[in-house]
Amino acid sequence: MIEIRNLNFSYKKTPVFNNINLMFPEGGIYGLLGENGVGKTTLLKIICGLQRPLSGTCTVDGCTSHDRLPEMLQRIVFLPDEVTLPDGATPQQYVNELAPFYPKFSQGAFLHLMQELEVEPDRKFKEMSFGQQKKSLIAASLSLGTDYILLDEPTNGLDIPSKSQFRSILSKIADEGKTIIISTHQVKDVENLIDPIVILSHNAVLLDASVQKITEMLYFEYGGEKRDDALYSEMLPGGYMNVVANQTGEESQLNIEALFNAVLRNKNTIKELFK
Amino acid sequence: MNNSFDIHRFGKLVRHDVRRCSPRFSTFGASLIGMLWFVPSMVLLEGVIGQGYGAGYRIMMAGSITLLLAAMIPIQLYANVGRNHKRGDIYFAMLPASKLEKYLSIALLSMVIVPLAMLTVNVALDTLLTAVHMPFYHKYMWQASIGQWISFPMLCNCVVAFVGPTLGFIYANAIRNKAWRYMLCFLLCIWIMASLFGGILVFIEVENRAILWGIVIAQVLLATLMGFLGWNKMNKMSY
Repeated sequence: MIEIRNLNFSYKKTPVFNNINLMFPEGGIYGLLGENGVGKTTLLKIICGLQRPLSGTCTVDGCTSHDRLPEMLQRIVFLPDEVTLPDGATPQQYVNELAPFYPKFSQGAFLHLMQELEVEPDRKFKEMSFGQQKKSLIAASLSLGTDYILLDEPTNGLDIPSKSQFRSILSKIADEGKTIIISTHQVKDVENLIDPIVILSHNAVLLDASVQKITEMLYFEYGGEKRDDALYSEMLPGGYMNVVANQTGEESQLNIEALFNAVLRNKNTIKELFK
Repeated sequence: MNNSFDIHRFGKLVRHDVRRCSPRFSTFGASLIGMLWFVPSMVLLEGVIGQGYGAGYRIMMAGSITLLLAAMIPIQLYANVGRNHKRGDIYFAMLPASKLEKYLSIALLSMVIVPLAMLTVNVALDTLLTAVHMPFYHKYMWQASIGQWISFPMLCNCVVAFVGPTLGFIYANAIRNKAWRYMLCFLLCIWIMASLFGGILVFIEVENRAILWGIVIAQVLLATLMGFLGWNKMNKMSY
């Protein structure tokens, strides 16, 4: 389990997190959402020990993350948005270098993922497009067999078929009990995949709830008139989509983009609702 | 699991680093070219001043090339380990090995494996060239080294003249402030050159062992400081 307690962090004089608390119990695909610069990538870096909090703690299965102990590093993989790739290497050589450090690495899984994502494992990175490089790195990261997988903007650069392949791969991996945390702006790419959803705002966590809890508390109404009591309304072909407080307990289809906008515009109301 | 130091994991890390650095052995190539480059230049020199290319000069040149290039290894191999915040080379930081193992692996590669390999290549090349053209080269480089140069204080001077700056380069590599990083690298290069040529001059010209030992002790203190700063930086590094 990843546990963040009373965490404070800032870049010099710019505060990023002010006393935040978060828990990521094992299993599931967590969506980490937020505007630009709210600290999504920073939070991932703190979790895997690349950033040291000013105060508070971040632990992964009881290990303080900033200690970057081998025991912890063996269980966690972080795929950032931009990666410095080894010169002239192929994806196969890349995983060959990493494999001895990860006892649960599976060459079979790597080749299977590469095949699913339609990338050749023996083609040099420098001969690949950005999207192919990204897919290779996704396959490499997922084949290491770590319990925690942190992905920063994983769908950036992926074409439409690859995005659906990516979703199906992640679903299978989540079924194996792995914990996946995805930080993204491209919410449409991970809709119906991420659950629970964490929304960060400047210095704080605005929302940390499962999809079930969200749809219990909020109602997403499609195709009606614009409502005055809506937390967020958006005009769509065929009418308005309104996000309102769920008074009746009726179930509705979650729209993450609308949820995100509703949360950002009604911070206090949302905090009260989900208290 | 031992989270501080595990010999098997350390072995894996060193093998990994050697494998990873081998494509970047441009320094190796540069060393060879440097040696080969001297041959035609010395032939020209022979034509101009009518002298051969003595073993003493070759030792100085080969030694300087080896030390300078090998001292650059931390920058060549671990260039983005600590200073790239936005496009961080987090690969090394995220490898499941302890900070101590990583630091020792950088030090071992920079201070032992690469210099020994480079020295071997330089000596082998010199032996080959001397065998082919003995009258011009007078003597094999290793023969001359054993005959004239190897003395305990001189050896100590050469070792610390290399170890100190290399530890300094490891430290410099982790500094984010560009101006300070370049300044430190510049100072370290001066340190290498000054301690080598200074040491040789004191030993050969002044023939004063006490001064040479003084230089060695001062260098050991500086090397210790560099080692401490490098380790401290690596231990507290954020990305």
